[in-house]
Amino acid sequence: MRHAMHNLCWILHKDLLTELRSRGAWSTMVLTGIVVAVIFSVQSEAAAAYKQQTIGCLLWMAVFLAAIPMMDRGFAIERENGCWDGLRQLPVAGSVIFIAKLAANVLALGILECLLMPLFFVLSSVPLPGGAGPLVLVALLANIALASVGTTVGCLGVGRRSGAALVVLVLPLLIPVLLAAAECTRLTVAGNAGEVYWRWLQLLAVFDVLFVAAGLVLFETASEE
Amino acid sequence: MPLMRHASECPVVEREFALEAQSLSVDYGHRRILRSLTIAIRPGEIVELRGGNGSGKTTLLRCLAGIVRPTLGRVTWFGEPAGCCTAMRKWLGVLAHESSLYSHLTLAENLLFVARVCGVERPRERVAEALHEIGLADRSQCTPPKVSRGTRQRVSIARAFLHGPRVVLLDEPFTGLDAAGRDWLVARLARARDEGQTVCLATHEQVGSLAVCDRVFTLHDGKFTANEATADHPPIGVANSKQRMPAA
Amino acid sequence: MNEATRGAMWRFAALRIVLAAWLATAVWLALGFAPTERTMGDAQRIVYVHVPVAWLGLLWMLVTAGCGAAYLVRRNLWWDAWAHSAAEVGWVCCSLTLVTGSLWARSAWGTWWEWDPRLTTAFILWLIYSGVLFARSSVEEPHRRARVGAALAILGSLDIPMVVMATRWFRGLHPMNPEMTPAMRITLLVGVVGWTAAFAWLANLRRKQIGMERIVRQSQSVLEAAC
Repeated sequence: MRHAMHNLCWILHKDLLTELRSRGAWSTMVLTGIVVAVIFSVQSEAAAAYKQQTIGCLLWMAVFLAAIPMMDRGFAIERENGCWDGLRQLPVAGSVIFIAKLAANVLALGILECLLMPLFFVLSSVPLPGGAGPLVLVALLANIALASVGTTVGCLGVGRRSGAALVVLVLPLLIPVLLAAAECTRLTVAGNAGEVYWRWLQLLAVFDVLFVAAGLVLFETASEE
Repeated sequence: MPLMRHASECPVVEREFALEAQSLSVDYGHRRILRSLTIAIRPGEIVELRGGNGSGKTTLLRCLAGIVRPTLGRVTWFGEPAGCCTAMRKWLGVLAHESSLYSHLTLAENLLFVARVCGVERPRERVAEALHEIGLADRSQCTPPKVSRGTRQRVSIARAFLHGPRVVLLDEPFTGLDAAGRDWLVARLARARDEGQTVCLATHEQVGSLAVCDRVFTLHDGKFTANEATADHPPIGVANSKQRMPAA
Repeated sequence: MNEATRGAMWRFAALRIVLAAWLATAVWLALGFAPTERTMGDAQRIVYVHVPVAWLGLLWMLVTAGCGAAYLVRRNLWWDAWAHSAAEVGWVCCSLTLVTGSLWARSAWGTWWEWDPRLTTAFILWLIYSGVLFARSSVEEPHRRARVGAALAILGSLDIPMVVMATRWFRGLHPMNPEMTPAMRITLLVGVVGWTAAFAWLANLRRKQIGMERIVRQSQSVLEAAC
């Protein structure tokens, strides 16, 4: 177990290092998010109530759009120069590789949201009555769900041909997550993070557990040659 | 969930064969790449697989490395099913067809990653030593795309030998190497033999048999056409055949 | 032709005749026997097709995932052929559900589509089926294709309960337990059994065809290699 943790840390370290150095993917991701934020906020004549209702939906749409290239990126790096075979041949279990890739994706999504959320709320001047706490909780759970589906599907290698293929496969699977996240955000903005909010949060948590477990089971077979 | 098991849980038992494949067949699409191959490699042997393009050398090596799951037949490492326990992979060093080097990491970082994951003690010193050995100590901070093909090949070979594996699988190790590089590699193989490592290498027909090889298998269209011992080494099964056991 | 094969052929022929008769009965029950609904009129008769195919859409997703899982455990392409044919037949059923539902909604609600929980769920199920088939078609190597298909079908079948939960929490329009006379219930039951049997027969036929296709491809490549 200690050994697995050790390997997990070094794979994560390697992934983050390569991602930090290949700046292209990051800029696409962040730019996509910013474009949606700006387009949404520029509609200055839209009523404040309308913005309050739609900000959750648009925020998560922006995160989703920005996340698509990210989901494939971790594996695109491995496909170069046959690195994937090189990694599979090392004494590391598939589940450890999966968790490392998942952690890298969750982290990347978190960084993206740290940038997008303030941008969305500041530019559209929608107030956040309950503070950022409930939103952070939603983001955390939603990130794990988005990343677990993205990592599992990304490793199937079907996204190899084009990003569009990945969207077709991932979008229907992620609808409940995006729905729950958008609904939670709307409730937070409306200032009633009460019982209904918790129910949606529970749905996200169940989704996380289910899809991380499925990813762990499927990763080994999905990544075979 | 089979999380990684520690190496101590996979005791190495001395077996007759280091690598063994029994009636191995691999289909790719609807094409059969390997046709019921059987090969057994003793510990400490150096075996050459020879064959033209598309003869199945690479697929055979990938099967032996446990990367490709055979359609039929089975592969064992020291009598254990290949890849049954993750820690067993530590016994293997592999040079794949491609370099397996991350373009965004420096040469030193690439080797350091492998050393750490394989649990090499004092990884930094080991990597420095390995880079010095291939004469790249001063270029350790270059990234793979910035160095020549031959240099990358040397780093990849160093990567395969880095953690002192018991078995080394090399896929066309001579590609991209100049005369000095080839001499170095032959010397490296001779040293591996002295250290009791088992080596299986795939080469083109043009390269010709190497003096260091114990046996040569010739592959054509997924089948062995010849299985001959080289001049200095009597064929397997003969009473006085050399039996080298791995160093303790 | 020996005795055993002739017997099997007769049994198959008898089975087909029974199936055809059953389906004819189901159609007659739906169009002639069942009473006309008071408020919706004859349009309500769509339900006798809509409910069976909707149920089959869900069933075939489970079959696809189950056969996919069996493939991953046994690594036998026989299971994959079942998963493939189940996904295709399921896609057809799901498409029929959407079309018949839409026709019914036009006459009952006055609109072709509404983002109601059941409708959304059915639409997402259709997207998942399409995703599985799309992904399968983009992979050439049979075992790899089987793995991709199995993994996606398993993820998809896990996803469906979540979709149901997520969409149920929004207000729904779809009738949950409509009032029905005994004659209507019998008609529906006969329809469900009949269509389930018919699509199972279709799936089995397609499964055999997929198996034969594979054998033909294999023989082709063997011949090509020999030439």
